[in-house]
Amino acid sequence: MIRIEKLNKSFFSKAGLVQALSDIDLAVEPGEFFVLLGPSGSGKTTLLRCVAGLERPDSGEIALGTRIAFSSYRHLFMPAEERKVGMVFQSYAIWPHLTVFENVALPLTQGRGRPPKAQVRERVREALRLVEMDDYVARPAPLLSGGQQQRVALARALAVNPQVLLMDEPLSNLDARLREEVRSKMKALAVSLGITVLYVTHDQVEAMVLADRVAVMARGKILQVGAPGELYRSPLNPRVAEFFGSMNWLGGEASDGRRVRTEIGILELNPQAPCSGRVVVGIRPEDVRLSPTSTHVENELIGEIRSATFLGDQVIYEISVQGKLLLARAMSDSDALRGKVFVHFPRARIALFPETASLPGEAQS
Amino acid sequence: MLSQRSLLIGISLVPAAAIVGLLLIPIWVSVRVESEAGVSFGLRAYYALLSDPFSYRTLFNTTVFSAVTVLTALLFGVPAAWIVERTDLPHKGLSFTLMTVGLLIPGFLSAMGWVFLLHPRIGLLSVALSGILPESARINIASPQGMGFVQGLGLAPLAFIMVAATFRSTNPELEEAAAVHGIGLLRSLVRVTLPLVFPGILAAGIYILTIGLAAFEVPAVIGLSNRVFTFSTFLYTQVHPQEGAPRYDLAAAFGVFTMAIAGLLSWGYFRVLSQGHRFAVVTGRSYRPKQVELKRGGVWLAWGFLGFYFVLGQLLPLLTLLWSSLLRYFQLPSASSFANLSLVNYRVLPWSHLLDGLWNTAVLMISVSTLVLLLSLAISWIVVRSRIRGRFLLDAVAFLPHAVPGIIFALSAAYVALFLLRDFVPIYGTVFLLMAVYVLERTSFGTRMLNNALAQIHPELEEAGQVMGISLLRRLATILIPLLLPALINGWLWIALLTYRELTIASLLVTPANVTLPMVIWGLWQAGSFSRAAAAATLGLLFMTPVIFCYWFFGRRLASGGWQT
Repeated sequence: MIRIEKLNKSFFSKAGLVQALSDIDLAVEPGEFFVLLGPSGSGKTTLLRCVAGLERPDSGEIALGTRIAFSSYRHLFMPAEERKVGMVFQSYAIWPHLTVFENVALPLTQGRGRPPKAQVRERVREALRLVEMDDYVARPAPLLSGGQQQRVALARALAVNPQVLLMDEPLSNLDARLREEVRSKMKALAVSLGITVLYVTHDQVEAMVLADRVAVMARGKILQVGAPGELYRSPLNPRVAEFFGSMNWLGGEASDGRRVRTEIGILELNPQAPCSGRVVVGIRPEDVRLSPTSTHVENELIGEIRSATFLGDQVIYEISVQGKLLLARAMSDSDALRGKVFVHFPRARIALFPETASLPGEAQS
Repeated sequence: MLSQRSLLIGISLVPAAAIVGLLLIPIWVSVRVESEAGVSFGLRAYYALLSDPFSYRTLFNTTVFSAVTVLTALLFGVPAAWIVERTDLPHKGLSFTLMTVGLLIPGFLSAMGWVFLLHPRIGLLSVALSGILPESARINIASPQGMGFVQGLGLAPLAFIMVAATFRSTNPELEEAAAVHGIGLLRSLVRVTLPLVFPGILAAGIYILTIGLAAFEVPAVIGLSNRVFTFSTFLYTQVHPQEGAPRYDLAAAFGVFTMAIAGLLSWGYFRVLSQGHRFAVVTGRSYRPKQVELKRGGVWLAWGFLGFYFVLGQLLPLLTLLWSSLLRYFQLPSASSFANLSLVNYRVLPWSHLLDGLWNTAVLMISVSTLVLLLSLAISWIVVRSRIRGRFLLDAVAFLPHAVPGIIFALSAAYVALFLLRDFVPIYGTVFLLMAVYVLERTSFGTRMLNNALAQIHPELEEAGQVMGISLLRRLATILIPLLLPALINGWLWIALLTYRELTIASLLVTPANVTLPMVIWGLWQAGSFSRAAAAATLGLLFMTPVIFCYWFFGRRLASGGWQT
């Protein structure tokens, strides 16, 4: 539905020329809920705006369905007005001088299609019903709450019957509780309408809940594309791993692909571990097992608990193993641990990356 | 759509090209030498200017006049700004009005009032002060200092507004820190507050100096008949000499010289403004500056100061004008003079001429305000919203009329209309010539205002329309113009007011066929019919009152309560 090839975009800023997008390739299937995930400055919003036609890329190609929206080879740039997409903006961009009804109706009465009046009324009502705002048609926009504005923005984008719905961090201005509620409704709505969605966010929980597939972006590049579970379990890159939850990182050396010598001791690996030489070893806090007594398994080391942070259903332990501080996450139903503990690293949960892949926490030039 | 964007670019290039053209004309005219042998180019006009002691006297007069203008404006503006922004004086609205209402009153009317007040023989104040002050200490109004004082009173509201903004944005914690560490109010004022707001005061001073340098109205009303010339009136007499042929070349050469100085001052103004940020006085946080508590005496002193300015700067000259319009010959208020009051001056006014002027002025007010806003909208949209290369150059060109004295624009336009366009477009002597030059002159204000207003409107509001298929012109009509409406109404009224009082440009471009109201009044004054001029001026003020009220109650309120997006 959306096909992007070799897309490049650079900006002039105070720091000089900034490469906002470099050689982006992406294909979004019809009816797919596709999320662009990345920290601020990763280029995800620029990519979305290129698809919308609000930014003009330097080179590459963008196709929406069968229509070419941009192609540097063919010197073609379809203006945003003609791309027939719907878009929900981060600020919602609800026109403050109009009512709810007028906000949804304006693209229909002033846009390209301009259907007859009766049809406009019907389509606006239908769109507002979808987002459960049909009781508020006459309300002036400045009197809407944040959540209501978000729903009107969604209705406005849907009312034009777009082939593609673009969303730029639509939940970031809502409070945490409302965000969870809207998130699940939005997913259900997208599924029931069968619409193709391209969605930008920096929140990995949002990405996991909503997405059929996710593209993780950093510094203008796509690091990995996959279903949320795939990105969580088998990240190709320390940065992807870090973005989907937290990680304990250890420096080490892999000899034969079966074990790795790390700064806290030797760890056994699954045989398919791919690399050798200097490596970076990662294990998620929720995969680190703690017990007060030895369970006599492989990859068990002795550590000492430095602190415990109570989070309600979970406890985060800070453990010192061979002088290295590691985090472990445990359910809080068992008794609180203290003092000396046995720390177990299950071999299936150890991720290994070549050292050339820089760590996310390290200074990035 | 691309074609609609090109339309906007085309619309904005027309005034930009005209502005650049009008600024190049004086340079060209000043080096053009016409003789029996034909046209050649040379610096003859500059030599003539440099070898004439009259030019040096004018330069000296202009310097003294501008300096006194700045000093007077700051003398009233700065303390008033401190009182209104930094003390707990009640009724802020009233004090603000007292200080700023003068912006709406045409400067040449106050100047006329001041002539009646300070006339050496019959002036109200001169006579009142004659018993107190010795002869030598009398204020001679027809001197560069006297005119500078009147001009400064008129510009004090501007100084007040600019400095008040600086006081408002100064972090009060810096003063609180002084207070906490045991520094008294007066010391803290001198050692902390003043240095902090100094860049703001300096910027206001330079800004007012630029205006003073180019000022025409006050020198034209007071100085012209007494043969005391400053830059603008010198230029005027070169084009409208009492005897001999107009000397466009001399006027242009002096104009080029002044453009250079004005350019330098504008550069200095922006430099000071950007240096001011060194103190980081403007932060994103909103705070209420700590206010100095005024004791009983302080309150009286503060009201006394504001009231003194209002009476001296606005009320007294206008009342004097009204008084003299009711008398055949000017007299001091006395029992016998009250008995002589009559409306005879109003009856003998050149009514058909006056009504022509009123009609033309009304036409200009409506057309100029509307055209300026349309052109400014196109320019500001390109500057603020588009990414077209060269848009900042467009912005700078649109700002130029602000920095260049208006009389130079008028000079260029008169030259173009008289000598270059006469055979193709006979525009000289029509209201359209005035309209065109007024529009170009005011576009600098229109674009400044709309640049600010557009920057306050979130770009996504417009992009939302764009993505959903609404074309550029329709977006302007259905989204941007409704959102900008408060600013547009406010700007429209303000430009209408400026057009109403415009005398500088009109002085070089008006003929009997396209006379404006200010020119009728000034014409009567120049002809020596002081009382009739005062009567016409009073009528003019009456005509203006509804617009002033509209602006004061409607425009200002709209501007402060616009869409918050």
